[in-house]
Amino acid sequence: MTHNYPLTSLYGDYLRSLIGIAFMGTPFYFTLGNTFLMVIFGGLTLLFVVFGIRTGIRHFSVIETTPEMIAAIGPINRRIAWGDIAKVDLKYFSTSREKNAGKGWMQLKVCGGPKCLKMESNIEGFDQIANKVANAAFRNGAEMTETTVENFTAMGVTVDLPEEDNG
Amino acid sequence: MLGYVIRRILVMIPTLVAISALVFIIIQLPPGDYFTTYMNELQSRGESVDKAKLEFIKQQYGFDKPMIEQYFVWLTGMLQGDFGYSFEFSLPVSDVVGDRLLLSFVVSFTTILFTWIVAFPIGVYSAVNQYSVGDYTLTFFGFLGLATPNFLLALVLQYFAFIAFDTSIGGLMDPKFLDEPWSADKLFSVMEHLWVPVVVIGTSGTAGMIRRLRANLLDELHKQYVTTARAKGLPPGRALVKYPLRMALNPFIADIGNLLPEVISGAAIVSIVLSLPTTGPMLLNALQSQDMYLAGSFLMFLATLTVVGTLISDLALGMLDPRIRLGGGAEK
Repeated sequence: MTHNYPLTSLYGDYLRSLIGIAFMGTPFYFTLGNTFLMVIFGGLTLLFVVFGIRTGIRHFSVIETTPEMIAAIGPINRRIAWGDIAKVDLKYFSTSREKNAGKGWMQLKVCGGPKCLKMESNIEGFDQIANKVANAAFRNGAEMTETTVENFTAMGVTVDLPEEDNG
Repeated sequence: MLGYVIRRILVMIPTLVAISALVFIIIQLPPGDYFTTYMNELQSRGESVDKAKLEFIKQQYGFDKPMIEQYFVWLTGMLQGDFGYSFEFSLPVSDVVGDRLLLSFVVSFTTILFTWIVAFPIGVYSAVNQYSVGDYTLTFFGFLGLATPNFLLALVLQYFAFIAFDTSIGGLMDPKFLDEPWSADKLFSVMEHLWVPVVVIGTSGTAGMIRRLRANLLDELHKQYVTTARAKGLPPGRALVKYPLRMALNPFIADIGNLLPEVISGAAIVSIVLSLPTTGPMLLNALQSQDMYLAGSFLMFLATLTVVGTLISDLALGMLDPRIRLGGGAEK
């Protein structure tokens, strides 16, 4: 089964990258004589460039789940067998404060040995991927933080931890 | 996390542009300008004023141009590291602010340290030993600290420091060191004077922090997971530090946004009462004399620090506590 990022969500990220490069790159150009400001605006411009490149990589990548493994196929290829999953992180981010709770997105990081795969909740079928990852992680006794377990639970995925991790 | 950082930085851009426009409009709102105020002052003292020269100076500094043009000149100047010129000091703004910024930083940073070092153990003790004699005593002092006006405490402590330690009244050092270069004696004099403003400014902050830490920690300690942890035999210290204390700290991390500008701005009223050479009184003078570039640039600097502080606290919270906030589902 393959999952990819819908173009509508990627256009938003491309736009963010372009706006950031324009707004940080312009002052950077005009502060070439001032080292302090140059470092600040240069660093921020670079950050938006990296974000644009990352969006491009996602644009041309798909996440594939088979009975044997989870894999990212595209400019950067990575494969992690379900049995090799050793660490899982599920994080929630939101730019809104408590008032607008719930208007955020999630990031799932799956690690097996030295390899890690990252995906965000705007990918198609994120719930299904999260469910498969959680089950594999539970079977393997993979390392998961309390927050990750809480986030899985909030998504409707039930994960029972070994007793020593509950305290 | 990168997506989060990018989104938060993008939110900062319109915020800072809006603040800069507001700051500029507010600075321009009072009738007249620095030169008009200066001219009126000279006239009130009976001194002659060359109006033609005044008009020439106004033209030179672009005061005759439309407000929107003045705003863009100011804004683009700041983006290039040029914060404008202080008419009152006849110096570039960056030169005027420089020394005061350092002393403000020393006072405020020491105050923050004092606040955290005193409030943290007391807050934890009060929460863990709720309704004990110690808790009631510390709560009493906490309310006393919250209720005492800073300027009053400043006057009392100045008097006490003079009587008990022979410390000169006001300032951050003995008057003889004011125009001298930095030396061990000057540093010692600063240390000798520093504790008064630190205690004065820090008292209300300490009291407030004790109350909030106590309340947050009590909320956490009464949750079921703490009861479960204790029932399973987790040592009391670990059952306190592992999760409840960490969760109780979230509001303090969220407060970094307010802390950062406070470090620079200093407490203006206390600084005036104690005659401290910090940035607070300087800002007040600049606003009174309509020294627009000094006041505007400094306010903009404070606003930027607030926005950057909020960004840092949001990033820290995002890293420390990336849990789903209940009340709606995450966007898919």
